[in-house]
Amino acid sequence: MNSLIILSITGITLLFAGLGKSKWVLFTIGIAGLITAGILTLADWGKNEALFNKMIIIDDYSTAFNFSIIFTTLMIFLISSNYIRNANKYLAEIYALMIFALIGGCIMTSFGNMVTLFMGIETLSIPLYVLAGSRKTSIASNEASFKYFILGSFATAFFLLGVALIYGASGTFNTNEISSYILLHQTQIPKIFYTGIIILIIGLCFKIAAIPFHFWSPDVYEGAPTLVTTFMATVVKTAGFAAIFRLLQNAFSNLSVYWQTILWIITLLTLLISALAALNQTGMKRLMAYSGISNSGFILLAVLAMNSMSPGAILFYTFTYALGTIIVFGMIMLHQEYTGSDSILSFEGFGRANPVSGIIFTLALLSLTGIPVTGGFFAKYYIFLTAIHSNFIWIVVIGVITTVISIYYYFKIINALWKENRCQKKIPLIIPFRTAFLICSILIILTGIFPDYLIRLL
Amino acid sequence: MNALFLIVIPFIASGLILLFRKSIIVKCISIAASLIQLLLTLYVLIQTNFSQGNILSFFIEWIPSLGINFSLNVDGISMFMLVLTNFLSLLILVSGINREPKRIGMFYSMIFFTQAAMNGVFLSSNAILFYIFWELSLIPVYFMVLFWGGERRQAITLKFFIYTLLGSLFMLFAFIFLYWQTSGIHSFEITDFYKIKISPAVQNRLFWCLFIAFAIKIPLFPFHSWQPDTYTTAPTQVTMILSGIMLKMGIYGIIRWLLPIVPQGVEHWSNTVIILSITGALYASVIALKQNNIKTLLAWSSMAHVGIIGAGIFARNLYSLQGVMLQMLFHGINIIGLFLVADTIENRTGTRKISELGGIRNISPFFSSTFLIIILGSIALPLTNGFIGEFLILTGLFKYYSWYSIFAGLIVITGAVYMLYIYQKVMLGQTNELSDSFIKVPWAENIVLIPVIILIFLFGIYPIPLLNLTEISVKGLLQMM
Repeated sequence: MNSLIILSITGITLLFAGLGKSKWVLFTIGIAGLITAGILTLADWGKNEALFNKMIIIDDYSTAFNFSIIFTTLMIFLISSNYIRNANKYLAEIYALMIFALIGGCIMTSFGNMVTLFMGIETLSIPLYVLAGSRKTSIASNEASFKYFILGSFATAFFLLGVALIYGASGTFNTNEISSYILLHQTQIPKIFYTGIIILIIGLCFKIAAIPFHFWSPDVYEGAPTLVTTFMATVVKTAGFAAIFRLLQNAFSNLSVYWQTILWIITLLTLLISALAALNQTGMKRLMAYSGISNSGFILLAVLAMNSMSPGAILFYTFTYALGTIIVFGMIMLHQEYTGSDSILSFEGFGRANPVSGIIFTLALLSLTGIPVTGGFFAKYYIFLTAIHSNFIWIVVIGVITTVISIYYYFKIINALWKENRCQKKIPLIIPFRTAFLICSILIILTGIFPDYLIRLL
Repeated sequence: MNALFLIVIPFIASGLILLFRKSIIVKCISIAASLIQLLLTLYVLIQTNFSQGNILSFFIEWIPSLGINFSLNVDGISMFMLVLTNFLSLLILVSGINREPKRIGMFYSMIFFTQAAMNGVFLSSNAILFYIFWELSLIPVYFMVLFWGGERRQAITLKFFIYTLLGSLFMLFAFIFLYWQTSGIHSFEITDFYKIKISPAVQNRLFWCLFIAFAIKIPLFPFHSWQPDTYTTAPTQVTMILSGIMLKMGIYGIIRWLLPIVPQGVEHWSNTVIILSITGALYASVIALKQNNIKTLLAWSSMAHVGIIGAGIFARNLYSLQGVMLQMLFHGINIIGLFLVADTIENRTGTRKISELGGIRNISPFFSSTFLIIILGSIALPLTNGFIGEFLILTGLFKYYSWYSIFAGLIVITGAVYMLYIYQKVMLGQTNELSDSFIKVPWAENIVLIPVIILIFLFGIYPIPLLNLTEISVKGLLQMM
């Protein structure tokens, strides 16, 4: 809880500090605020308390996910140092909005009540609508913002409708009370309750870009400034999955037979279609959007399995996925700045011109593919383990097949990186970038060698 | 002394070599390291008495909550594989002694990395550990082909990688499935896997999940289509690793992780697999007859030989399995010799097209005689090593079902046809312009060819020690099924 206060103060301070001239001050304030919030979150470890009439519940689950998204945001701040160098006019606003979105994310992981969840989702989304359009003069950025806003509000409306229907049936917003309502009225649960669950799931699936609710994702990823895309691909996704799992587990785990069928279909579609759609992409950001959707499919497998291993698997997967994604998007950002293009072809020879960056990039891609000994391998492995434990055999086979397909598009990038091409220039890395890449790549390897410490947390 | 050393030493060598750039230093260090590794392996071999169980095991908990341990174990079969790996690695390193690839430090470092991972594959007795080493051995090979390979390497490496990973992911799936079937506290230890009781219907499906991984690696028909391209385009030393050692990981995998774990599944599918293997081997032989590129021809011939080995495994009797064990080593020796000869020819003349060559014997008789001897070993002439291995396998197949051995015999005969055909076209006849550039072969290439020849005869005449080494373990394996 303290970390939320610190984050809010940081956000507001950032807005005021924007009046000053130095951009590095903003950077420092942001980093300091995030580090403090991260430490305070860690201090919450082991606590189990309900605040504001059980509106917010702080437990190990929320603490772990909060720390994960605060850490991710910290890394994103580090790679945002590019913006400072390019003297972006609205930096204070961008930073502040990002912190506010992060607050929304933290609320989403620790809700005890569906109204709190709704607040969290909105606090997360509204800054993002603005952020997606933060490159004011770019048409693509405006389009992304508009599209995201329209479809996002639509999904929110859906979500609210679901909440209303469930409230109509059970008379409560509290997740635990809904759970006991299901137990008490097992035979006479009204139809609107079931409808409510479906609509809720649809609303949430929009946020995590599961197929068939994914259409916004490639366009928004492509149009939004790369920094914002990174934020969407990591923090939003982690928070979204933390929320969806928490909701399904706390409120609806007794009806799992019912919603598992729906989620099964969504998972299947997400896995298959995203993998096939990614095959033909030529732009890196679009490709990463589809890869993100495909990864959503894998995490959905753990949500679907809904057993004691699921929280650990989701945490581990979202964390390692975020590490890899930050590196990839960081590289795209650098490359885009120097060449103005994000097509895979323009990356040819990138690794030969910048060997260190090339190796880190390759490592990140190997992790996203799921090759040992990277964190990505154990992430996929835990997901499969979890799903098979709950007897979801066939969908895991589909997961295996899509992993094989994913090798094609990830290794296409690796092949391009190391192709001989003399036109590439050396791209210098400034210190914050180096720090972020170094931390992420060390963590990728550490999570690949000692996954136990992370997985045992939950 | 424990088994961990055999993995750690190549890893250290791999890191050490990266520090140097000078070609001569890199080569010296790598050969020294490889020699130490081989001596250590032989020391282990002499010290161990395999009838008294495992002495060299190493055990440390890695991810205890999931039953993944860093557990290594040595028995007769894995000992044999270790000797094979480390011996052939040395041979491969020596064979590159007068090749100068770009960034040689990186290249040799990757070779050692592969070697370490392959040792890990043969040592590990935990399924996930096995899987991790299995994958790790693939990564450096991928990059070696990508950086140092021939034409069209981008597409070919990708195909190769997707193919092999497809197999291994199914294997991972099967391992996870088996993990949940273990009784008591779930574990990935192979000893626990052996105890699982699985219903025949499930075994039949599980068989394919595991088998695909191994069949792709070997490769057995119809999972072979990555192989000829990759062998052709890879740098010769990598081709040697792939065909000499890495392919044996697949065979070892079948022996260790397939036969004892799903015995009823094996029972059910063994005829299918034998027929597939033999058909594939015949098919490969016919295609080999038509090849004009020496390396591609050797790739297909390798597939034909491995097809016989594949059939031999599934005949599942003492003869065939002993033959398989021996033939793994012999095939490794012969194929390395053959690829070295092919590489030497290409290096000297600048072509690998059989039709453009001819009459090399007139210039370098010694070289051409060594080539002939390796060919004879490869086509299983009595008194050469190939004869021992293939004879045992054919005997085993005959005992299993006599028609199989007749068709397998046909493969040996066609093998003789295309091998002697290369010899005739390349070595005999008139010396043409291209072959004329074939100056005398330097000592370094001969020095590799000479041990190959010695081994071909030595094992062809006196294979008893090898047979004794594997006998106990093979018998143990047969009891488990």
